[in-house]
Amino acid sequence: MQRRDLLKLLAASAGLQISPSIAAAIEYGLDTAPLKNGALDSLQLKNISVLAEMIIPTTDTPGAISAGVPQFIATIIESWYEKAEREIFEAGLTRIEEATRAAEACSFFQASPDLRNRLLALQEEEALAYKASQGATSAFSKEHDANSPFFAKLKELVIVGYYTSEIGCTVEQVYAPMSGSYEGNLDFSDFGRRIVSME
Amino acid sequence: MSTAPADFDAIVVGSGITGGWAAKELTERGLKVLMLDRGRMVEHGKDYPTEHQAPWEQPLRGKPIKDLYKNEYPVQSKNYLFNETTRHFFNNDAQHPYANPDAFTWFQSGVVGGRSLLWGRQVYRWSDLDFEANKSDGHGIDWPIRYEDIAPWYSKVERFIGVSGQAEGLPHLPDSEFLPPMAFNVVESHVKTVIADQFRDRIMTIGRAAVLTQPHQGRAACHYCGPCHRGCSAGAYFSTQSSTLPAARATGNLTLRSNAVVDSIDYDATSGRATGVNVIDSNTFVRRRYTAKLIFLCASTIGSTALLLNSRSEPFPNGLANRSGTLGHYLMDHTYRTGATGVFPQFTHKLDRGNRPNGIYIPRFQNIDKQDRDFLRGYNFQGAARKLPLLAQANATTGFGAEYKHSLRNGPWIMYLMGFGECLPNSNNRLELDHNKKDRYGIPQVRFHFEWSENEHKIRADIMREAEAMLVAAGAVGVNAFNNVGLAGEAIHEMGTARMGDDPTQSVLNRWNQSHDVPNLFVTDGACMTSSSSVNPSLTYMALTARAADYAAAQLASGTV
Repeated sequence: MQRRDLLKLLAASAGLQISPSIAAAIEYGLDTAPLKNGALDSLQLKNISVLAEMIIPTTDTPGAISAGVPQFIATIIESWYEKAEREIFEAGLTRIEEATRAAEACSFFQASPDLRNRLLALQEEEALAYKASQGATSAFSKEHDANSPFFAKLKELVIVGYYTSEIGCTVEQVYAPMSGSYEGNLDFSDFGRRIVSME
Repeated sequence: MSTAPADFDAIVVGSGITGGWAAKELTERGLKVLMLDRGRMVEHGKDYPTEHQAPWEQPLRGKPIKDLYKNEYPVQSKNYLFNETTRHFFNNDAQHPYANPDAFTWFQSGVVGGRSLLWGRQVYRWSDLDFEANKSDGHGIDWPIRYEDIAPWYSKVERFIGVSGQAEGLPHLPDSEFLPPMAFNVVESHVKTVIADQFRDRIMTIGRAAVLTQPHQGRAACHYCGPCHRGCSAGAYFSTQSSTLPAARATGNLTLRSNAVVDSIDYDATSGRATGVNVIDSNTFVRRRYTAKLIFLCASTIGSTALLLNSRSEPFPNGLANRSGTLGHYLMDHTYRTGATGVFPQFTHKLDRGNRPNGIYIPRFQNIDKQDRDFLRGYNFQGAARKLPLLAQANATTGFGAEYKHSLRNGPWIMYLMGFGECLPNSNNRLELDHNKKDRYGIPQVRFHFEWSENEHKIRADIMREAEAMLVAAGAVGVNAFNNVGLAGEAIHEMGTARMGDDPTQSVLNRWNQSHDVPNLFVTDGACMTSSSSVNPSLTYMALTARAADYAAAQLASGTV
């Protein structure tokens, strides 16, 4: 992606969350479909755990599994997603599971890192094509798109789950919920991390 | 008329920004006051259950509870603050509906303290540019007051509530009595300099906020946690709970009844006075009546006017205090959801710390000394710069894995500018009662009629053009102008419908917020507004309330009302 395009996209997406008032200004209408229940099976949960950790791995800070992201994803899929969203998500899990069985005769969570990366990258390509087709430069695109492809759903849940977790806030970032003052000209190099507050 | 003594000297209907002020001012003048609110009680501190709740403590990490919101909060859930950290302060739309949410968005609180708990806390004085606007261009009727009438009351209110801000000496946006201003961040400072250099007709200043930057009146300074709207047990922002309610209670003259739905006001034709209010307990549905010598309506713009419209009698078949026929008409709001965003990658090496509950402000710069635009009146900008929110950056960045994760540890800044434009008073923009649609208390529901005028659309076009020009001049990239024209009410600056004026045939209230028709009846919330200005209205509501309470108490003492 061109840097210019990235910035445009950033500006567009950022509008959704830059502030309460701008969020109100450009994000409208909550998804209001009924809840859908039903538990994921253990294979799905294992694959979700591996996928979450692939997106936000353990590095010099803990990754998605340590932060409880798989449990968060399961909760959303089991008790919050609409039926159609869940079907997209489960179909994505099935696709990568079947592709792994064909290639390495094992489950995705047991596959070689190389195969896992290739399969996930393929899913991302699909999601990027979908995003491009949606004209993602509009600042008025909805935050929650029920029709987005598997990878977009997965990544969104991993990101929300990780960066709202205690580890994501306090270890991966500098958590300053009550700093007592506002300082607007600090050097990033003194922190090496984002400074985050409670909202 | 009953010869029994009145239960109270004064009844104040509503406990929000103006109700709290009316209760404080009247009780401090020795009046026995009953303050009524249809919402449940919220005690300062103890009833702020989500204050300082960490992100990981929130159910579903902030995702909406879809069925509940759809069924019980279809209007309120559109509010920018509505989520599980604030839902307990909002109106339950299923229990308190209105007839046509597709015509007007009515954001309401459902608790004592009202929207004083949830407001944006931006406070600015109006000037004669505003008070003379109707007279100058002939839209609406002339205000019965000028800046000099209200200026001392602005001072009184500011000294009590505490207003942080920077004096700028602008005649058309008079300075308040300020506590120290909040700080700009590095990007805002840069943009301020660019505006000073390249846009000589305007300035940028820090937002003027009813948030304390130093201890004040027994309340603590802001600790910069950010989400004021969850409630602040430190009392660092002005709310009824933090400020006016404690003052009113301290007099020993206040009786507060929550869960008290006022359905009508009684009128006695012999004395020509309002005699009391009829109240329904929202838990038990038991009805009762309270009497008083003075009635203050502070039930919000829509709430107060709806109550008057529902108080019908032989002398007032079209609603109490409505001999003029203007009650319900001239509903206004500000233009909203128009502006621009831009990204500042050149400041990526900088960070901020602290969640500042305030932004920047660019005072109106159009049509000040002369008509220099193709529209009447004008607009101001409010906005802020901040680091690009992580979740937005994360979703917009391709890839996954260690490199992806570490790339999210820093990012560029983004700034938004959003215009608030003045709305012309128009008789067709109005509310009425739908007697075929009743709520669970049997009270007719409010029905709205509202259309934006060509003038407001022209204002929006100029807002986009100017916002984009300033961001581009400041070196922003990816500048994105937006204009999402929504329903009126969304700026939550709804006002008018019981306007002030000198002519009783053209207005509901006189220069003291006193009914022309019913001298012991006062309306001091947003309903009283004769024009909308582009300036945030809450400070003016407070000043008008304090002024009216002083006048009413003097009239009562002298036996005039």
